[in-house]
Amino acid sequence: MASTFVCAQTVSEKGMGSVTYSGWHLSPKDRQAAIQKAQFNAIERYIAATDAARSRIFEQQHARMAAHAGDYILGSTVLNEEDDKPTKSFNVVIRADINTTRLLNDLGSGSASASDVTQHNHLQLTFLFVARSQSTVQSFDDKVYRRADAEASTSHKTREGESVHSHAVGTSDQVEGHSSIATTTGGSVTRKAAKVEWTLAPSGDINTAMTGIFSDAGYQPIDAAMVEAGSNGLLSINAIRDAYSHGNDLPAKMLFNATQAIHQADIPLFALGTLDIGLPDIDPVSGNTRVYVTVTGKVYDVRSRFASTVIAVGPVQFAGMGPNDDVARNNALKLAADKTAQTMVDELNNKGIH
Amino acid sequence: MKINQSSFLRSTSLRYIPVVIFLLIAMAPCVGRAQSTPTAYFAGVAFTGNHSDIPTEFPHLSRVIDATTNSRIFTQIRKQWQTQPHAINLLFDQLGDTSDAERSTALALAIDRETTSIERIGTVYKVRLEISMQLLFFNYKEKQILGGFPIILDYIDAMSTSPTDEQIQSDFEGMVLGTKGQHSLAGEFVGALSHISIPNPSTRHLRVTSVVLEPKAIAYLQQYKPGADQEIIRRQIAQEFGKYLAANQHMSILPFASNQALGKSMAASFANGDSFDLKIPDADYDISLDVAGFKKIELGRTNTSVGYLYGAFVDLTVKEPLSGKVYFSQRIKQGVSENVPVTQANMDDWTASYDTLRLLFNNFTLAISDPEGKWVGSALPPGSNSRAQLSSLSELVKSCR
Repeated sequence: MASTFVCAQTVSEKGMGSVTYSGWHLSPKDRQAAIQKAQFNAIERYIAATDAARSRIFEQQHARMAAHAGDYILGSTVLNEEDDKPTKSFNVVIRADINTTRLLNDLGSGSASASDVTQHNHLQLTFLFVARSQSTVQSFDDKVYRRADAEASTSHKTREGESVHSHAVGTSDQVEGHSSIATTTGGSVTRKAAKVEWTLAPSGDINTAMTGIFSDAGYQPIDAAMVEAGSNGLLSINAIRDAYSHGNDLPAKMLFNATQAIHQADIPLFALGTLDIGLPDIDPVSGNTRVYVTVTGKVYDVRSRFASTVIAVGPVQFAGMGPNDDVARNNALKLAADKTAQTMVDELNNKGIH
Repeated sequence: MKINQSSFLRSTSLRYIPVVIFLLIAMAPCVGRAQSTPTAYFAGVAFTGNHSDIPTEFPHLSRVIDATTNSRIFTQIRKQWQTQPHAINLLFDQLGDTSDAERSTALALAIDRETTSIERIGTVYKVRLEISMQLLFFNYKEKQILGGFPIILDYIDAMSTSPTDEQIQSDFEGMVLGTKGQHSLAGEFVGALSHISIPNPSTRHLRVTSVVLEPKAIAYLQQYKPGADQEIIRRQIAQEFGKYLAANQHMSILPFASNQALGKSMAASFANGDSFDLKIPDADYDISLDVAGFKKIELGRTNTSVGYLYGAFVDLTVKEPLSGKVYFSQRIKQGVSENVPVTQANMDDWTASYDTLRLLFNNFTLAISDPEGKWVGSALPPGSNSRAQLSSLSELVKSCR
């Protein structure tokens, strides 16, 4: 089973706890109880800031985690404490350094030990994520249709007059004319979506990052190339990559064949998706080059005749920064791969798919 | 002859005690010397403004300090550094490691502000150019400003005509490179560096999280500096307060925000690509600065001079955001008087007001260590509450070191 070295990670998070005491004074035991509550509150705040799947897993194990919250706290600093003697209540605010590696392992979202893997017999999984960047974008001008109908009308009014005097007769005439043109305009504007062609980027680093996350969580990642070799042409990685270079969806037949190939290989899970690399721009604050990567992916359960979607991720954006395009792009891709794989692991755990 | 063994042994062992004591005393400095000298990676000259605002915020220095000038300053600093005694191991040609606490501190000659002030006095034009900068130490593992030691470089000239932009540009260049017999950036930087020590990362984190310009302050700004970018002014004020707090209290703080210096120039001192993804951690204690306003009052005039009083007023609050506990919430103020000749046709009132604000920050951050001092009586509201709050803030700052 492939495994990558994962450094223990710590996160700092604030927490608040309070106790009401019955004695005359706050005892050390009461103070310690408030601090322990604050430490668990810090863990709750950290979990709340992660994804929904992890929050659900945490809620299911809330009582167990609360019972030994101190196991996940490497250290804590008291930021503020107040002993309200009239109400006999003590409030404390701390900043805790949380051992997130151990916490996630215990939740089942982190690395699995060898015995854990043996005991739970985690499922095999194969995945294919395609990294691509826009090579051409053909934008179309709006097609504008205009029509104008004009209606002209005229009217005349004539007046003739006669005046008779003792010595003369006068006549007068007057013509009043009025003409108008009424114009009715209309039309339509037709817009056409830009046509995007994609250039595929090497996926080696993404595969390595995702393999590490899945295998550390106890799954058995199987290289898609190995599945392709034994699929008698049902699964074609090149055909899938070529399809993604022209659009966002695989042809139905191609997707069906791919799931069938994996089903025939007795691999229960298939993860498929894209990492779209945006054009670099300049971060206005630091002046670094910034690249956004948009991730979209699904995990299929291919154990039955027709594959079912068990997890759908994205589209989610991640940004990476660096002094040049390459560093920024690599930072973004690594972040996107790590986060996406971790989200999929959390969702699989939440659904009991191990 | 029988030897009294016990007395012999006692006298023998006693003979060696002075030797042992001498050895212990001699070794003690060695134990002290075994502690490592703090290491910092020099990142060159950088601006503490946003990258997109640099041409606006530093109209002359952004043209003076290009890649070539930066390289010349780098060489000047390196050369002068080798001749100075120092308590810091400053590295010029190596890259640090953000995951290693001993190798994650970068140092930059960070430029905060450039000021050009032209005042006409009779037939003479008084030109004052100022470069406000700091020795900026930033720890990329802890994401903390370890120290921001302020330096101000001034150049004053008298001219018969109003200077052109090219002349001003040339004078700034002289200040930067030390030509025309002036003090240079490099010289001031190295001189200041040899006298300081880097604080350790703090266990509790203070940070300026909010700067508000109240309507009266905005009106004053629009009157005396029309067209000024308020966002830039707000950011500069936050940085100034943080700089004086860190320097005068010898403590490390979290930065107000990322900028070109922290996010790019200093981040390039490390081998880790993730140093460019700088995320400022949440503060344990928030500092809010509400700039209530400025004032300019004529104090009096004689046949030869006019006296003015410039005032700056700030509502400063320090609190722990989760519990809402307020450690300090008072209006602080500073006044500075200035006499100018009656023949002076115009005054750079905004620069004078901003200098008053900086003096307020400097005095206040010094007063944190001296809550009963004389300045406190003139700057804070009367009564025991303000002094009690200042004492509370003093205890908080001590706990943060």
